[in-house]
Amino acid sequence: MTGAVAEKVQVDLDSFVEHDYSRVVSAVGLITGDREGAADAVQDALVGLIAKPPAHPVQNLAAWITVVASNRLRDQYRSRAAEQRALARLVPVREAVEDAVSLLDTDVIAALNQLPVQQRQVCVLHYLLDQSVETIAEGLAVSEGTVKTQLHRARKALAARLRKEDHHG
Amino acid sequence: MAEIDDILSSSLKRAATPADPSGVAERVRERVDAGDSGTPATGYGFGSSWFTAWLPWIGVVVVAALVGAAAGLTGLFGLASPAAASAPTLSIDHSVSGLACPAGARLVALDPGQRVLALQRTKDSAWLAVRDPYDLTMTVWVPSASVRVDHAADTAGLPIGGCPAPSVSVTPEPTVDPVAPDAPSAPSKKPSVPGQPAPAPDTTAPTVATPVVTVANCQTTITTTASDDVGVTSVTISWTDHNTGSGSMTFSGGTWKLVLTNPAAGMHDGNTVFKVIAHDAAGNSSAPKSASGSLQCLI
Repeated sequence: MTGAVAEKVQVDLDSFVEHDYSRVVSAVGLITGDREGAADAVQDALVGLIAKPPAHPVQNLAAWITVVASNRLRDQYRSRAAEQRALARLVPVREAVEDAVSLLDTDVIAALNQLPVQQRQVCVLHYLLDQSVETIAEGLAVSEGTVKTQLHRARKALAARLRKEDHHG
Repeated sequence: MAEIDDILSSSLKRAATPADPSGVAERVRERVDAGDSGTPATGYGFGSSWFTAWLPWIGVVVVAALVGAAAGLTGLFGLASPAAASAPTLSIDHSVSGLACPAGARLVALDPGQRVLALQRTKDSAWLAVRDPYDLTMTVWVPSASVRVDHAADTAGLPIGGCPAPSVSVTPEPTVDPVAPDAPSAPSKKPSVPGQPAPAPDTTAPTVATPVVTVANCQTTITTTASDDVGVTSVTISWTDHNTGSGSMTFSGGTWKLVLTNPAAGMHDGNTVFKVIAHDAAGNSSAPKSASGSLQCLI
């Protein structure tokens, strides 16, 4: 079956796992706030890609997997209230993060979590995975203008929230 | 804004927690070998967070693309990739349904003026496969007559595609189709023989059993059986009440089945009525049969 898998999949699975898996899991964890579920979601997306590949070739696998996996986790929260409860359950994870990163980093992550999911996705693809606007647009099959708009709104909202944190802090 | 760029880049990289890739490729392959379909790349993704939330922006992109076309400009539609760049663009001419296959189950409604990319065509070019603007991981089929292609010559170069005929229609299993494999072929399957009367058309509609709806955790499974004097080619399903949608069931082991796993299915908690209809190759359809289930997905 390994040969069949290699024929069906549109990418080199081993190469993706070796070079991109870790940072894509990190990206999904940052987008969703669910670091524990991120690895499972990424693997689910990989299985789905191989088992039932989309009709059109995936151009940017890292972006595609990031969005599919984070949407899957995101959609698990059936309502905003449910999401808030789930985020509250993640507090211990955030506290653990606080030990490892600066307070600024914690503020950035907290501000990121307040953004709409699509802005979080674009932000993480751009700033963590270092993907250009053009690459993100290509990978998600949307216009560059759409990505630019979402990125601009995210930057503006994050800057405002971080300034507010600074004033309060 | 440059400062915020630096802050975001450095903070996100510091906050990122690396994941161990050991054994991941092997686990993924094992799951695929075991028949696991994971998170579907295609399916009932109408509730996709990304694209649902971006629907207003799709409208903006459509307007931008139309303006670009009027100005004789290209490249305003985000066609940066080589594959996308070569895919012809077209406009939906009038309201039409995007189908799972040519003349297949309805998946999505497309509105006049929507811009989509053409990816494949049928051999006779009567149907075009286009990227679903609401879920770009999906492809839907639309009649060529219902779209306006920017450059007609472009679609002639599209790869020929389509949906393979369901295997059950070719070699129907005894549990579904009462026609024994070695029995004389049903009228509509007989080849035309010169000098002999033309075979009578197949006018017998299939029958379908009342579906069984099983709800477990966040997974809703709908199963049914169907039969026809020639062969059942597809069983379509639609659901109403607390959820609304439609799709096609898949055949395996004598049973037609559809599994809706949240969140991919985008279903909501509540009573949902599922209606199934069986179809044969001659276009006959069974009387619908319905059953309901109360969906629950407590997270």
